[in-house]
Amino acid sequence: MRWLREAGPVVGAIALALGVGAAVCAVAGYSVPAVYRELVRGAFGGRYQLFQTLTQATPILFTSLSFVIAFRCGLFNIGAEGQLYVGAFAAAWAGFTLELPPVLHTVVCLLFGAVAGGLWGLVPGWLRARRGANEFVTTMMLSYVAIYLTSWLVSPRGPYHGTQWANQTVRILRSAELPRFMAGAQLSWGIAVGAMVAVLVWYFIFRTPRGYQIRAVGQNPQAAEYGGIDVSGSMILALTLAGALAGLGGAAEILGTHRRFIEFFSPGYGWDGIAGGLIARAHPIAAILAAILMGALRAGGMAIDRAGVAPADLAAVIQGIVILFVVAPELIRWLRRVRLPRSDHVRAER
Amino acid sequence: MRKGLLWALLMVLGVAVAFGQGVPKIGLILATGGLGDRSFNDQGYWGAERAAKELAAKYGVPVDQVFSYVEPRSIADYEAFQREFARTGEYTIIVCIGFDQAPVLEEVAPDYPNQKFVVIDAVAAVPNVASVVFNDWEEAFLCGVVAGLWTKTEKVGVEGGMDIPLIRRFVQGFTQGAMWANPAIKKEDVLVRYVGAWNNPTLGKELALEMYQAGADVIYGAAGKSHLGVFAAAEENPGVWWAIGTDVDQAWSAPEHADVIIASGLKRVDLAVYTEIMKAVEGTWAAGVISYGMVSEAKLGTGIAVGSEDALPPYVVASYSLVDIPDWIIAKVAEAAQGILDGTIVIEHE
Repeated sequence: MRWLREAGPVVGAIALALGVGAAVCAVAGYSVPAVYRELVRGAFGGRYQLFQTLTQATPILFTSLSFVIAFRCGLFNIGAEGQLYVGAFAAAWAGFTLELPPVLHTVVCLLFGAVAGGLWGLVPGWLRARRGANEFVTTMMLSYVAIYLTSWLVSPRGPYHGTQWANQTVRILRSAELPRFMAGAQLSWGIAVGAMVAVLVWYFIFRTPRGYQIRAVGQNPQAAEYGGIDVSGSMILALTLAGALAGLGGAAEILGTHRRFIEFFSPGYGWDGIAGGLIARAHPIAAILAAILMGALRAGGMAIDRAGVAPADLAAVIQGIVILFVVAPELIRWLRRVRLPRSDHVRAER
Repeated sequence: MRKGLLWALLMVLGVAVAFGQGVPKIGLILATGGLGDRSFNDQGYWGAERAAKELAAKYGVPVDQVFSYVEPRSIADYEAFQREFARTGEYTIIVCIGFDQAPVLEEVAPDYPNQKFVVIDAVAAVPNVASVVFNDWEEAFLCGVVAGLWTKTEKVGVEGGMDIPLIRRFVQGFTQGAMWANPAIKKEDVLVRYVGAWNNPTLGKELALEMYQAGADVIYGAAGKSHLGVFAAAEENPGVWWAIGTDVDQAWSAPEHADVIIASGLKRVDLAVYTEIMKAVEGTWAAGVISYGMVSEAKLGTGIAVGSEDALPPYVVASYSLVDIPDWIIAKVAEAAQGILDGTIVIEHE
């Protein structure tokens, strides 16, 4: 029953958003039925389309989980995009540098991605816990550092510029690839890794003492501290894990989809993770469904573009409206929650 | 009687079906610079559009039934779009604009052995891909001649999109042309800047201003959408600072800057795209490397737009520029073009 109560408003918001999206389409002068037909067909119309949806959903699942785990600790990880990039680059590097037997190589590359992303989360975590630096600002700024650092690494003057044609590394070795499900579709086993990780995150948050501590800090840091919980330790752990999850997502994307690091490869998967995490109401299992929704919108958007029924920009507008409608209530609720303790605090000082 | 009618009906139906299947379809995947660069991408689009209009008229169907195009936002989108088009099996030919599509196409094309692909500006060594390359250095050389004769400061500049062999050949040809035309210009008098992106006119403008302030009074742009910034920079000091466009007569495609654009190199991407599409439709298409340029089998595809009259068509043709170019400069450009054609001028290229 609780499930229904939680899911009801989300489904309602999606329906409402699609309605508003239709109005925008009509006003912009495009055929509403044609656009929505292509959107649905492009996302779920067949096996290939379904695979395309899941391909797009894979990195979003990881970044959503990244957002969820930090959010459970009362922290806002805005930097998943950058963590995704460092993870992706580290995995690619391990993929073309190390020489290992097939399955082991893939696992090692994934670990490289998780560790690199984790480091990118550890720094803001430490700054937040020990120095009180707002993680909003630090994760976001570090994100830009990551995106442009990796871009430089593969630029013509950088050390890992792999081909003369584009700013990207050389291809990873075959042994490092996450295999694909079907020839001709981009979907790789990355989605399976993602689903497994989602279950692990759920277990960690809800079934382990560490997870309990993180949740306690998220609900009320003062109370947690009185209860003897290591608040700063929990914050550092939560942001490090958040970084590691996003880094793992970047690694899976490289090993499964692109097979090489490409500068600016992400069309905003890190940002989609914020929306995905909020749509999922910060629940790791629900994040799978949220990621599929976001992936479907992206895949459908590409189909709209290819079929020529409307420009890709319009597809992006529909995506944006859906995210806005689903996320806005949750975001407002969250903002209200962070503001309340602060005003209490001011009152207490007076 | 009835049987006869039935047969007639069946035949009509059969013809209709055959006719429907016979309508060719063009798929176009643009480069990440996207439409609106008024140069390379737009030209590719015009070529495909021209072919589409002719085919639509011939078969009596709307243009959007024979022509679809997409604008990928990042290199990472190429694979999905290439597969998205190829998978349907509906397209007579899929045209990929831009050198950076080649590495992906080399992995995608073998999965669809019966699909015809064209890639512009790069070589993809796959049996079902026609790779169109241009002698870019020829247009660059002619632009260098104009710049060398026009400059009052004996200093010129060139702005490239990326520091890659393709663009270095532009720089090389331009430099050689300027030095050929004006012995007072030394190699170090040709300033060079690379934007590092094809879609960043803001940075393109900054770099152009830097070169103008360093004493260059003519700048040649070879940076996709980014070098629209060169024109904007020249507008800050009209009558003193000048610009040269690339690939298409940019005084025509960007008429608001026709007062500062003295000439434009020509690279007939539109012609190549149109020709390849028509070859595919007529059944004369063949895979392999196809060169366009003054010194090539086609003897066509590169040149310059300068002055108000066609001095040596189709190589030195009239421009829509509002700047009055003296006849002796035009004569010298025509002399250079003749020299390239008969081999007395050999342009170095890596």
